[in-house]
Amino acid sequence: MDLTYLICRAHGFETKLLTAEHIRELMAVNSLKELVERLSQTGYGPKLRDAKNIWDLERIFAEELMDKFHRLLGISPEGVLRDFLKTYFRRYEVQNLIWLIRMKWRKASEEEVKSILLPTERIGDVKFEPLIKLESLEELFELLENQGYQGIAAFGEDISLIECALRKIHYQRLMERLSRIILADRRDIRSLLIPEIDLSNLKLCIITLLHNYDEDTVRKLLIKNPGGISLRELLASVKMGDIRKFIESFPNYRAFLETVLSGEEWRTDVEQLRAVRKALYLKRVERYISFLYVMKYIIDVETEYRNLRSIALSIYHNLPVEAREELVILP
Amino acid sequence: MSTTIRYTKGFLLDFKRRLGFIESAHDLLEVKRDHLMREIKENLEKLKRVRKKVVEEVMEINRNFALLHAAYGSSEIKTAAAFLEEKARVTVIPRSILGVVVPLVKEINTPSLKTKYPLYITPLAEKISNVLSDLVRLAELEAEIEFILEDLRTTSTRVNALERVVIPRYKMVIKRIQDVLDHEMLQEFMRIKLVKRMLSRRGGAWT
Repeated sequence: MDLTYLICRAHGFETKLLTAEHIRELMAVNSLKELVERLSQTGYGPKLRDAKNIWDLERIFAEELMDKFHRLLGISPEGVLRDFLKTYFRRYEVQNLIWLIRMKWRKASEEEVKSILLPTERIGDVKFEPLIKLESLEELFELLENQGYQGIAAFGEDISLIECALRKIHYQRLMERLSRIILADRRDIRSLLIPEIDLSNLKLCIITLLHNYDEDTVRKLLIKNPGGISLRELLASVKMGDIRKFIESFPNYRAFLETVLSGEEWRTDVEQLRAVRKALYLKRVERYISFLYVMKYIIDVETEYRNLRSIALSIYHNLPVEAREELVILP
Repeated sequence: MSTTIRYTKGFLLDFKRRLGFIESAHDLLEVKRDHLMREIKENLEKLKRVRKKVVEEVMEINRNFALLHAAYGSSEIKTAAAFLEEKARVTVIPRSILGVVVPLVKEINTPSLKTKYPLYITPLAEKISNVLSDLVRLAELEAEIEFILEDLRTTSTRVNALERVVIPRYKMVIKRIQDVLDHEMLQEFMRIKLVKRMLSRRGGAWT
């Protein structure tokens, strides 16, 4: 199987995704029952038969997301592209690890931990079953060391730092895999990842300023982002030790930083994804055979998952349609 | 009240003394009832104000929480609770209002938010922490009103019982003893008069 085949299939898969019209219709429904009825007429139908409550719906949406990624991995050509895709999908594995560590920290039961994790085992490398059974965080860190997540234990008992360390490992791995892809594709994909890594670094700097972490810790956790904000610039701004001055140092990200501080980070996340999708749609891909088409499909799948989860939870909380519109990212 | 009534002057005086005591107790209970009523009125006004504020705050928190939940999903929100290292603690001591023991919240220790919460949840956690002290105050007021109401009910029952049963019964008994004593006195008077007349008649014969 080659890249051409993968791109053709990605185009094919894309036609099966929910349209903007469909999402708008789902956004307007009043009950979860109605939502399930409407979704039953789509590709989600067979899985939704067993859905009884909101938690089932969330689980089903996550399973469908993982199925789509798994299908894509199955038809991707062996080599650098498959490696890159696999590494990209490991962001969900990292997310799972973050949740697992938090749950272990508060000594949650095995059942509780199982109920919150995403079914990432088919697309990732980490097997979560043995990790869930572990008694202590030390044992967990020790096992993770052997699975490619080195150096987490150095951050001791500070969960925020451990989470930053896990994200750094993921992005470093992703950038390394990206460097192996052919130059033309690399440039396009890097343009997608640069803002994401910048935002991650900026968030780390804000945490540092709020919790007074030392410079050495921040230096260890900042992610190198060629094309984005340089580490030197970030460290110099953190050294000023003042949040206002820090925000003023990055006028392009001012809105994002202010929203993060006001606790409405989700708005920026939504805006960020909207901007990425808009840029992707407007981008004129010069070649018919470009890996960017596959990335576009992946981002569309992630958006659909996010949209459906947000719609279901908004209906569950009886949020007004205007609030739902703020949460949903329409194509 | 003793069931055996002796129709004697001593018994009548004792009953009158007892009635005087009961009436002053009744007056005192009436004053207590009025004070309790005033206390409840004031507390209800306070409760209305606090509840309105709390309801508004809780509604806003609920909306913010719903938005966060919808944006991040259940797993993220559930696991965010792991950052909570402390528990909220409330110190309650007893306080007496007109003899009614009500709980008084002396101290509210809300968990420190300086722990490393995810940034998106910190403002919501701060709002919840602020509303927590108002919620405790609300609970304190509700408990106070409940305890005072319970005592007011007992006091009112006592006042009513004294007013409608005990005092009228005492008054009735006193009246009955008084009547019997008056009747006996009249009889005695008549008897003396009769004896006097008889004696004067005999005395006339003797003299």
